[in-house]
Amino acid sequence: MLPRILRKDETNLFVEGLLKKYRVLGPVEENSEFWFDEIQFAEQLTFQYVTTIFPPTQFFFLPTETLLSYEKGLIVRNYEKSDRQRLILGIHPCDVHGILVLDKYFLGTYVDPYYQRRRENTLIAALTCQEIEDKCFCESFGTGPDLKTNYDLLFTDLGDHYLIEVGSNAGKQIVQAANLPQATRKDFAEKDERMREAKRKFKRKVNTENLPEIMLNNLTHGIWTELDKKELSCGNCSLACPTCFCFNIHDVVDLTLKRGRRWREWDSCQLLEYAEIAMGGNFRKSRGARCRHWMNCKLSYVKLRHGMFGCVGCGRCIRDCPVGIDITEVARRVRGE
Amino acid sequence: MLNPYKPENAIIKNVKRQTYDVKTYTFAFEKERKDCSFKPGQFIVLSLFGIGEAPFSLCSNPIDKETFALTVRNVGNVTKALDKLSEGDVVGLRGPYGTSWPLEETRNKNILIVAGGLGIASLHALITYVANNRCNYKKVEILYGARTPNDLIFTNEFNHWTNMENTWLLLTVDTVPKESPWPHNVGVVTTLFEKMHSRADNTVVMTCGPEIMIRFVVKGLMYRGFMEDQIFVSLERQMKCGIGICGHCQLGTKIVCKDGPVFRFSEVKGLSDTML
Repeated sequence: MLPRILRKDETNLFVEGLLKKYRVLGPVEENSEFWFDEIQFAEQLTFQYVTTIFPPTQFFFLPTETLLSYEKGLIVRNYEKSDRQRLILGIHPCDVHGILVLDKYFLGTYVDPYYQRRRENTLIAALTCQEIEDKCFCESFGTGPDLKTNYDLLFTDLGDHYLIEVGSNAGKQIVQAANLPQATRKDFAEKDERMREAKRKFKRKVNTENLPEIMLNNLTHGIWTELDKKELSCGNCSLACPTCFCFNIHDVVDLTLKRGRRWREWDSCQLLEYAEIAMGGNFRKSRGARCRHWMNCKLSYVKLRHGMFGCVGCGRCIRDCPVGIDITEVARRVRGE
Repeated sequence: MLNPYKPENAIIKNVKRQTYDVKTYTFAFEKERKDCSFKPGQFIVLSLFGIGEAPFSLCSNPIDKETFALTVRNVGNVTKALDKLSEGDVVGLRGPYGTSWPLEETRNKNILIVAGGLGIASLHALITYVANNRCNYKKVEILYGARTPNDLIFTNEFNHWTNMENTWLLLTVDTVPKESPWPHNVGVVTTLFEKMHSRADNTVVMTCGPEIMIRFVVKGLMYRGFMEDQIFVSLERQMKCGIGICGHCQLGTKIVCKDGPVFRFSEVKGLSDTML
């Protein structure tokens, strides 16, 4: 499908066009921090952003959500009403890969209808990455800074304009409706050069060769004892991670005891209660065991199960760990480097 | 759209007290879904509105397509609330989920069943199935251990089991209260290995109970020449969704609610965070 260009001084006009048709989610800035939010007008957006506080997967797998409401033992509602189509704009390739990991779990043998509705109802207009932070390492996992598939539109900042690659019919309709001019070979040459330049900026690297097997073969490595003493069991890493898919389910009733709802919230395997079983048993009582489980989930288990790593190299867990646990260092140490 | 989190209302048809803290509940669906088919070893998620959900192994007769039965110890949030319910009350059920005991693979072979405590619940469905299809299997031996004689359940069926040809039931308890008659073994379930008829040759082992028990059962059997491939275990982990999504029951590369709860021992051996 024919790639297009968008002049930067026409970006707001383009976004206003999108806002007429879609609920637009995109990166916004406040107090020098970035996060994804639903925007009302184009000026709210910022494309010059570094990794957001929360991963944008929060718009697919909500931090909390009601699964069922019931009244006197009868289910009265079990999912949300149909919604206006959404478009997530300016999402980085690492975070797109986060969504692909969630797909493996929420759209597996059993399909989670809440996730599925949002996933199918949301177009992805991604943005290749040129703002490489010192905590980023997506290149090691092949999840950035460029994106090859799984987008409707893909933007690349080329100075005074964006190159827009088109990945689906829905994306094609958008660029056609906006009547954007076609891109040239020169734009692609410029993109290639910029991607090469971006790749040179990575300071953190992970050697992923045979990493899942190496992790599995090192369940008794000394690093887990070290981490047992170091880690706080705060669960920050899970809240920040775009691939953490775990949740807990609670029931809550109103004061009349007649109406209630069953809801879920993000959970973390770093918390003690996470793996508790009947009569107080717990197979991951120590913090070291919980940390090992988290690291292995990211660097081994998901890859062995689904063919893609559970880590996308966004660096949020490194940024948010209060005691400085660094997944790239763990991978290096376990490998024996 | 099908919602896998949505339980279906079921009525408690019968409550049978097994011991001071264990009861067997029989459920039937209120309407629409009449079929209660399952394979021995599978579990369902029981749902009490306002309290929550918990997974339980099905213990009923798999041939009975009208009802599901669960044998439950009154020990947690959900089970304490369930304990207060009686015939006619309504609960929610989802499932059945998970893998089952290897009935096809076991055809024309000997079966050794090792049960500890409430682990007998999952195996009860299997024993009932085997009893109804007795000619498909050769020797059947059941080793069953509980804490005390008062903790044994399904006691009224013991005679039926032992009356079958080529079938043995060996019982053991950890302790016997004073002045209780107890003609059987005392000790952990692995102490029955010295008395059992089963040998490794042409035998499939199926075991369920506390994980620490499973560990020593496997160890003891391997010492007697059994191989990891012929031992099947049913594992317990915290489960929230029961359908392979919520992550709680992850055991290394396995998801217990989906890949299990019944595993060939060689599949789960060496995974992290187990007692196996």
